[in-house]
Amino acid sequence: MQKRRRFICSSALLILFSAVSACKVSDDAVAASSQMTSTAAGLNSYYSALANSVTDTIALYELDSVISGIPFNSEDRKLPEDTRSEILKRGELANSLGRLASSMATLSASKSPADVETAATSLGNELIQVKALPGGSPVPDAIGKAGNYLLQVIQQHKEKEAARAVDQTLAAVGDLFEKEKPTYDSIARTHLFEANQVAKDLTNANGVDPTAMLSPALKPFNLTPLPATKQLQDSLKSLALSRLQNSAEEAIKKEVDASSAMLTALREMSTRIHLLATERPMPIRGNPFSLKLVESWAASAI
Amino acid sequence: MNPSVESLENQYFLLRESLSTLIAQGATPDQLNQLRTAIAKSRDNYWLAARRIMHDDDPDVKSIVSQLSTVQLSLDATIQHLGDIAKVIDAITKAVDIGSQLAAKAVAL
Repeated sequence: MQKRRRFICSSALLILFSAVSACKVSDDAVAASSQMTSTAAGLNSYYSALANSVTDTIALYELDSVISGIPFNSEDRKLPEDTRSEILKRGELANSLGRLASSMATLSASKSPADVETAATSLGNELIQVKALPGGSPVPDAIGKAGNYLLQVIQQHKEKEAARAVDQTLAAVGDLFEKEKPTYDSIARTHLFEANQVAKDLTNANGVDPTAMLSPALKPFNLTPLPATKQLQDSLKSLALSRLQNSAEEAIKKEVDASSAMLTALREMSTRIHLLATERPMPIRGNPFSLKLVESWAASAI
Repeated sequence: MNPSVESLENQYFLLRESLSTLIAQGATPDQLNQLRTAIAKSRDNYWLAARRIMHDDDPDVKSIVSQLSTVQLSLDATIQHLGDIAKVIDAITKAVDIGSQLAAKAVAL
């Protein structure tokens, strides 16, 4: 289903870029549509994983409240929930990138003025949604402006200018991500800190069964450990605590690598669209390699 | 990294980690409750700042971040070399108050 959706988006973008760049299907247009579609999907995956990370953090605060007595009432909960909601809006922004392509394709393919008007209105509504991102950051306004510009030039049948408007929109999305990336990293770090803290408290209080740690020794022989004795728990405690710390540090690094890779992909996509918009050759082919890292992190995020 | 969010993140991490240290040092139930309240406040300050990315070019924010960094260093050292727990709790409360000023700037901007 996802592959089919990507194919549809790719096709839509292909029509768009074919229409806006000299009305012929070029290899450059194929590469640009594929990259834009994949990058938008990668961006959405990144934001979804980050939103899940906040959901887990909230669950950890609840646990911490019960285990350690640190208050976490409904007012406290509202703060991370609001942040999660803002992250989800950014995920919608990534979806809008895909929808933008579909709408543009509809506009390019439409023959009757009424169809163009309907599709333009639909695109306008999507752009309003993109503009509804929270205030305080100038970047969403830039996205809105780029979108409005896009709408105007399409309605005036200035196809080449439309490519430049897409170029501006993508640059604005990249700027938003770059500006907020340190906060995304901090949110992911906070999640892992909290998970590590609760796991550490449980381990120290002998509230964790450490027998799973014996698996490398017992699994090859199909042996099952007995419930851990107090002595065994004490023996394994320091190893468990050390592994917790190392795993948390490794996971924090993976998220930073993923957000850096996402930013690289956005910038690369922007560069390619810019080349297309300015009718210059686009020598690089295929999706940004860094997207694989983002998808891998999003799929395995704790 | 946004210095304001980073300061508040560091403060929360430090205070949360100090809970087990103070329990081990024999803090009274009242003292532990004060610490738990301070930890919760510090956590809220962090999320307030993360919710709305602050403008670090604001001179007031810069000044508060600087104050917070100084207090943080001192607090870190105090927790590491525990003497009078009441004084530690007092220092923590003051540090969290500075964090609240920083988070309030986030709400106002």
